[in-house]
Amino acid sequence: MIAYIIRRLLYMIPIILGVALLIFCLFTFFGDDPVRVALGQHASPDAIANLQHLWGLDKPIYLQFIDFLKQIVTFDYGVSFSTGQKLSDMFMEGAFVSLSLTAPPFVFGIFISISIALILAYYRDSFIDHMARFIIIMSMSISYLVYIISLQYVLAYELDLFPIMGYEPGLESITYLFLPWLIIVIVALGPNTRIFRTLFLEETSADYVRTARAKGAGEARVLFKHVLKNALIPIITNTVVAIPFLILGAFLMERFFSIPGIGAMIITAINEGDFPVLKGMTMIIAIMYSFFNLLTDVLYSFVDPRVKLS
Amino acid sequence: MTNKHLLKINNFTLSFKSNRGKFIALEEINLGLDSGKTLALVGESGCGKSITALSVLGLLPENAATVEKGEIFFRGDNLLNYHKNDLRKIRGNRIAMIFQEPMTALNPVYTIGDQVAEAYRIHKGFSRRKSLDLAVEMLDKVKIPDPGSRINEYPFQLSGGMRQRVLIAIALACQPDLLIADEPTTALDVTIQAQILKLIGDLQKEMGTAVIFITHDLGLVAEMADSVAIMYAGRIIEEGGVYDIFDHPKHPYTQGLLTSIPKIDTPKGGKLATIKGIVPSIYNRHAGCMFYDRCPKGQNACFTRPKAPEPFSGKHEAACHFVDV
Ligand SMILES: Nc1ncnc2c1ncn2[C@@H]1O[C@H](COP(=O)(O)OP(=O)(O)O)[C@@H](O)[C@H]1O
Ligand SMILES: [Mg+2]
Repeated sequence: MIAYIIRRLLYMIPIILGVALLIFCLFTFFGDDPVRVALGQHASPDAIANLQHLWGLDKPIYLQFIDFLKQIVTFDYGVSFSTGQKLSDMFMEGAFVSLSLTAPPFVFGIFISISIALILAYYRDSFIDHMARFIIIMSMSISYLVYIISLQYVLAYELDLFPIMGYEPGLESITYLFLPWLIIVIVALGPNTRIFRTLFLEETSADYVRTARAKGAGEARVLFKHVLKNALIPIITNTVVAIPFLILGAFLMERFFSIPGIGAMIITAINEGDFPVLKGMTMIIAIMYSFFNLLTDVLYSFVDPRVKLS
Repeated sequence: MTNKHLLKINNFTLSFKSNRGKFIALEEINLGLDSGKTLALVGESGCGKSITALSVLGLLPENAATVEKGEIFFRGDNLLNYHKNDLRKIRGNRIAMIFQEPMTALNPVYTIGDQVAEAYRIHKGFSRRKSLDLAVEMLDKVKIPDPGSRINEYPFQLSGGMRQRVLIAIALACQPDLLIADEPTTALDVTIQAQILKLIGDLQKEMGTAVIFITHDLGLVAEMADSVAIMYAGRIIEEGGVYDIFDHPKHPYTQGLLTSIPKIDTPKGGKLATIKGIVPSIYNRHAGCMFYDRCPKGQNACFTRPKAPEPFSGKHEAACHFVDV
C-alpha cells in the first residue's frame, strides 16, 4: 500500500510538470502583459523596465519557467500584485475559509442523502417514494440563485435569524456560516438523493441480492448490509472527485455572503488582472486534483476487496 | 392427497405484466415431490423452469408477477397464503436454492465465511463467532480445502466451481427439507460439473434433503432423478418416474429430447438429432398443444383441442392426443 502510494506520487511528477508547462505558456504567451496591466497605459519606459526586472520578466523564457518550477516546489508563488500579500499565505487563509464554508454541509449532506435514499429504496414505488421523487424533481428545477436569495431574504432579513452576510474568523464564523451551510445542504440534497437512490435500486437487481433473499435475508438486511457496501464504490467516485471544488469554495455563496474564501479571491484576482495569484491558484488546484484522484483509489481499496493496490 | 407430499403444486398459473400486456408464463402446473426424493424439471431455455422455482420461494418480482390461480403446498401449508415475513423464515431455512451463475451470485465485498455464516445468524440467531465456526464446518462438508483459512477469502479469489460449492454450503447450512438447484452446473466446465453433481447427491443422501433439479439437459438427470417433469412453453407436458421417461417416453417432445442426447455410440463428428424449429413466443399462446408446429405428429386437432395430461402406468402422464400406447 505504502509502496503503491509512493509510486503513484512519483507518477505525478511528469503530470505536474506537463501541467506547469501548459499553465506557464498560457500565461506567458496569451495573457495581457502583466506589467502593462499593473502600471496602466501611460507608464514610463523606465518604470516598465524596473517592474519587469523586479518580477524577473526580463530573464530568458526558460529561466522564467525554472523560476515557476521553483515556486511550485517551495510552495512560494510570490506576492499578489494588488495586495502585496504572499500568495501561499493567501491560499492557506482562503482555503481554510472556503473549506469551513463547504466541507461541513458537504459531509452532512451526503450523510443525509444516503440515509434518505436508503429509505426511499426500502419503500420503493410506495406513496412515500413517489412523493419524495416529486419533491426532488421540484427542488431540482429551481435555480441555485433562488434558494440563495429567498432564504437570505426570509431567514436573515425578515426573520433576522442569521446575519445577512459577512464573515469573522474564529468561532464567531459559525453564526455567519450557518445560513450558507443550510443552503448548500438543501441545494445538494435533491440531486444526491436521486443519484444514490438509483444506485441502490440498480444494485438490488444484482445476482448476489437474489442469493441473499433466497438465504432468508429481509429487505432491511439486503439494503443495509448487502447493497450499501457495494453501492459505496460508485458513491466514492461521485463524491471524492468533488473535494477539490470544495476548496475552491462555492463561488456564488462566497460572493453573496461576502465570505473571503478562495472563490472570492479568484474573482477579485480576475477583476484586477492579478497574474501571480491566478497562475499560482491554477497550479495549486491542478496539483490538488491529482492528489484527490490518488485518494479515491486508496479509498476504493478499503471498500472493495477486489481492488489491491500494488 | 396434499399432506402426503413434501411439496405439492396444484393448478398453478402465473402471469407477468409486460409493456405488451399481460401474458401467461406458467399454466396449470402440477408437481409433487416427496421428502428426500429428487425431481428433475427439464425443458428448453425460457420455458418457465426458473420462475416455477422462484414461485416456490416467493421470490418473483412483486410488481410484475401475478398468481392467477393454484396452490403451492409445502409440508401441508399453502405457501401462497403465507405472510411475507413467514415466507422469509422458510427461505434458506426449510427451502433453499442455488442458482445458475456462481460467478455473480456471491456478494463481492464480503468474505465467503461471512456469507455462509449469515444463514445461521438469520435463522438460528447464533453469535458471529459460533456462526463462523459452523460456516467452517459447512465449507468442509462441501469439500472446500482448508476451510478454516478460506473463510477469510473473498469470492473473487475463488474459481467458479469453488464458488458454486460456497453457494451450496449457504443453501444447505440450515439443513433444509427442500433444495432447488437451478441449472447449478450450466456455467461450469464438464469435469467440475460432475464433481458438483456428485456433491449435491452425496449431501442430499446425508441430510435427507429433497431436491428439485432444474436443467435443460435431459442427459444429466438419468442418474440423479427419481422422477422427471418435462416443461414446454409454460406447461408440463409429461411427467413420470425416471424409467418411464427414459424407457417409455410418450410425448413427441420428450422423445425428441431423448434422441438429441449424445450417446457413447454416437460417432465423433456424427450428427445428433435435433428438434426442428424454435420455441414459440409466449405472446402467441393458444389452448392447444404449444409444441404443435414443431411436432412430427402435429395435426389440426392439436391446435384446436386442448389436451389435459393423460395418465398411463402409475404416475406417468403426458399431454398429447397421439401418444403411442
Ligand atoms: N421478471 C420477469 N418479467 C417478465 N417476464 C419474465 C420475468 N422473468 C421471467 N419472465 C418470462 O418467463 C418466461 C420463463 O422464464 P424462466 O423461468 O427464466 O425460463 P427458464 O426455463 O429458462 O428458467 C420467459 O419467457 C421470460 O421471458
Ligand atoms: Mg432459468
